[in-house]
Amino acid sequence: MKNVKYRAEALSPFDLRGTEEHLSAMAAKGWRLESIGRFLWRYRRAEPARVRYAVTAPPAAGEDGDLSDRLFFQELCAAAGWEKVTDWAALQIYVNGQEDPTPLETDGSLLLERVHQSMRSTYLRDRRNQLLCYAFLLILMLFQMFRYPSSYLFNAFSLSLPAVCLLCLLGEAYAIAGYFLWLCRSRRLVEEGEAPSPVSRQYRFLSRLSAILTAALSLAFLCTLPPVSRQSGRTAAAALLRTLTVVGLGLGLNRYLKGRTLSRNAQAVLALVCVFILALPFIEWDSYPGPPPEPEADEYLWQGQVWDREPQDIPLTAEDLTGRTWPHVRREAVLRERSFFGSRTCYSEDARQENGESFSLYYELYEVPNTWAYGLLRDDLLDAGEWFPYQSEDPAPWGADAAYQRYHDGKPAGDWLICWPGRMAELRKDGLDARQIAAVSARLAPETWKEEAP
Amino acid sequence: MAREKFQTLTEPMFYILLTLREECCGTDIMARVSALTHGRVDLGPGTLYNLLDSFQQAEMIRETAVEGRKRSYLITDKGWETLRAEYRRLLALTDDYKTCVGEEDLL
Repeated sequence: MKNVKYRAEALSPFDLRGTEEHLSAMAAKGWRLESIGRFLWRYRRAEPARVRYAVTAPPAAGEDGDLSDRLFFQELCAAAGWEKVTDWAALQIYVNGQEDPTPLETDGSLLLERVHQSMRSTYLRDRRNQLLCYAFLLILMLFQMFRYPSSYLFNAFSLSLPAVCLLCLLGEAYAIAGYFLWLCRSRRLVEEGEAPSPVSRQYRFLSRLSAILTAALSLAFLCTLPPVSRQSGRTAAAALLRTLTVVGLGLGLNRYLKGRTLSRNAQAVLALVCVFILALPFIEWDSYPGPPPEPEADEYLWQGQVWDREPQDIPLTAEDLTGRTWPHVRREAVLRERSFFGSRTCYSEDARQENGESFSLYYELYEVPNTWAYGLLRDDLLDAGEWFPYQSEDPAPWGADAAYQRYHDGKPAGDWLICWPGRMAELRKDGLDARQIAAVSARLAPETWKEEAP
Repeated sequence: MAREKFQTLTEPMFYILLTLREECCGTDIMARVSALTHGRVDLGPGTLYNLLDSFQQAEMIRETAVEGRKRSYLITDKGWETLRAEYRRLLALTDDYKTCVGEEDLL
């Protein structure tokens, strides 16, 4: 039987009465609050009992408070039977086991003003800062969206960001508005000689819903992340691990320094310096080439490089373009972006002959069934080549609607943009002859188009 | 500002100042107020702490001793002045009541 229980409580810090009632109910079930962490509340099993809890905002509460003031406050509380349980940001939670104790706060207006003062310097300040951050991010994203529409329209992750940002912004605004509504209601009640108002049930429900939605959205975010190749996935995982290690060491160091006789600024500077020093070896590691790659089960090592035993199928291969068989092949197909409007997949192939002769191929396929999005993407791709602009070419050899090639200093650069209805291809290969162009058309043009084309 | 805040005293304020005619520590104040009012006025520790802090800032009381967690206070001249003003205000209220209603109604 577990003696300790952790719970994520969706209680607002100004919901004094709601928190007190909740904790009393937990105590009646045999769970006494022990401490409050950043995300979870820790309860310890005890004999079920009727005890009273009080949430208060003593002027000296919090880490910056004067210790003697805090001790004096606790002495007064202890004299009335109130024992301190834990700190809760700038608030404190007390418990009293007496049958009918004197309330910890007997003047509602004083309590309200202190709570308001405390909320202004903690809860409201944080909410306001987050609201401003979200507003700034949203404006930035909308600006980017209108400037580079294709970067957002074909990436579900990017596309969902402004919506999520807007939701978060509304959540913050709702939290601030909810607090001031509670304050007004409580002031009115206190003037009438009653205790501060409990937080409304709708507000509690929406706060819980907001917490659940945030968790769900975070998961949805991860699902919309574009898939990464095996190699880049490993690199990303290693980078994440290194970052987490440095952050963990930094947090540990900060906790260690907390108990020392140093000012907060000195602690922060010292922690930053130490984290920087700790991060140095990791930065250095990145600059080393590292050991040679280890082949997986479906790969083999040849001339210091990893090759595929059974290369995966991709729409256009080196064999299609050259008409020759390549004994050593390495292929990759990565779905980079996908959304309601379309998708972008990158294909690459490295091929080698036994005598070391090599052939490399890289192209990207855009599947865009929506006509409006298709036009937007084509314009965006054509505009993107500011220094090496695309110039229109004859689409007939490609069996396409339109074809464009980049030019550098008036010379063709070998970067092609080929447009078929519903599909576009960006191909990097210079010096393509008529047979190779026909092979590209045969392999990359949509089947429906090939059937309909004259 | 402080003057305005304490222009009229609430019951807890009045009794705290009244108790501090003699040097008294925080926990004793609660006990004495309760005894003096026969339990009619409840003085919570949170409220007491806050009022002592406010009185001290308004220089109506002063800290006389600190022994560990214990702190003792005593009313100042300014505190006396406020207490007397409140007493006079209360007398004026009762006088007005007597003028309007008469004393017999009190019985």
